[in-house]
Amino acid sequence: MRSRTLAALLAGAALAVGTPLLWRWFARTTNTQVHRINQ
Amino acid sequence: MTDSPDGNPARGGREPSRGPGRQDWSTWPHYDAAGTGFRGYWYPVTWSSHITGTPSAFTLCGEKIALIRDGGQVYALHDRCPHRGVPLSQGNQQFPGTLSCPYHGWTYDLTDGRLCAVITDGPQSPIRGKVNVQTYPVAERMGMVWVYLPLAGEEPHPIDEQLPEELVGNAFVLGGRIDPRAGNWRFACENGFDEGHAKYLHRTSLWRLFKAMPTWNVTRIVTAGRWIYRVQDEVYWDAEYPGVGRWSNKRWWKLKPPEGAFNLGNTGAPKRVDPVIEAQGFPGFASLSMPGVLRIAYPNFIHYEFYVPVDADHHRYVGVMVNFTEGWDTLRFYAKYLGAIRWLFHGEFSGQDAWMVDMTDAPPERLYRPDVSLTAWRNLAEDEYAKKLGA
Repeated sequence: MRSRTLAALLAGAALAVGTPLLWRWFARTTNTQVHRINQ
Repeated sequence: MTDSPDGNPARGGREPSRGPGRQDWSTWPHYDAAGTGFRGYWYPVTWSSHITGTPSAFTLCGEKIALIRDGGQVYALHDRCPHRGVPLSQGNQQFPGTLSCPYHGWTYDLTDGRLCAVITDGPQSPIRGKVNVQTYPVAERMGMVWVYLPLAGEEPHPIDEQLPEELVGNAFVLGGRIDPRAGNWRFACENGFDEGHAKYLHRTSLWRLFKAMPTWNVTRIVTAGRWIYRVQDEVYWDAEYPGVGRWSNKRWWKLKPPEGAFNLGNTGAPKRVDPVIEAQGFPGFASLSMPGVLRIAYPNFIHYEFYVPVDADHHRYVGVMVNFTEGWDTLRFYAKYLGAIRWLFHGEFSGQDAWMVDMTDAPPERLYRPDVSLTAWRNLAEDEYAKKLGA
């Protein structure tokens, strides 16, 4: 049980760190962006 | 590509050739001379998030520009140190509010381009304050950095006067991509507004896989404000061509085309129109304004293309899809843009345009009826620019 919790925590942390990094890499290499513009 | 300042063989004091059609663009002298773009306008250069404290190099209308962010503000300087011609974009910041050349540490104030220190000549360097690099007005809109290229050192007009009206004062979400492309910016602009091309060139694109496009239209050009619009008076989905046979874009797997003419959305009449888009009262779905801004209005979103001149043979394609939506629909739009539109519309579909723009070689040219869209654009550019020069 403890190892499952640890794995879930590690996976969550990897996702939390990896997703923004992956998005940054994608946005920069493909020159693609999405934005909300509030006026 | 051929145009007069860049070596059009049809011009330059030589006897005009006797071939059929239009031999040159001398009818539109300002447009003809604008191979590297029109000065006196704002141009989108890159995404705001790409500009940091490390300088980046860009070419705009043939001019080399360095962009750098300092204290949250973006600054643009001519990307050439007057000392030995080294690009300032290769340098870095040694003092707040400045940019130093990587070669000898000539250091320029970001606000006015004044040489404010020369690191390798000591604090009392006599050349300090006697040298300047040109700076350019910068604005940030739509998540992008815009640079104003002056005609002759004049103050820029407010950027909001140049943006599409519906993007000023309305909240929206956008998705877009910026691509360097081969070909002159005028070919890209003419292609975008070209009445005849989409029905044929794009008939094979995945973006139009389930939607038929007309075979041919009867189109006129309407001017409203600073925009010209393509207005479709008659739409034909198939036709019998004398001596060769029948031709149509209709297929059994594509949605049945609507009856009659339509002027919003380029494949059919809308069921429901976004209130912001409806309020604009666009006379036609395709419109164009200076200095090369294409607007394609669909019932629930608007697609824009900004054709940014780089040099005589290259331009920057800035494709932007805008949806006037709020709340959770923002996430749906993001998913739709990143999952489909970015690849299909701003990718494969637009790639067909890029292919043709790269291949176009005019003048000379032999125009046909639908090319009223091209000549109307050239007339608009010519008139607007003459007015600007006169002002």
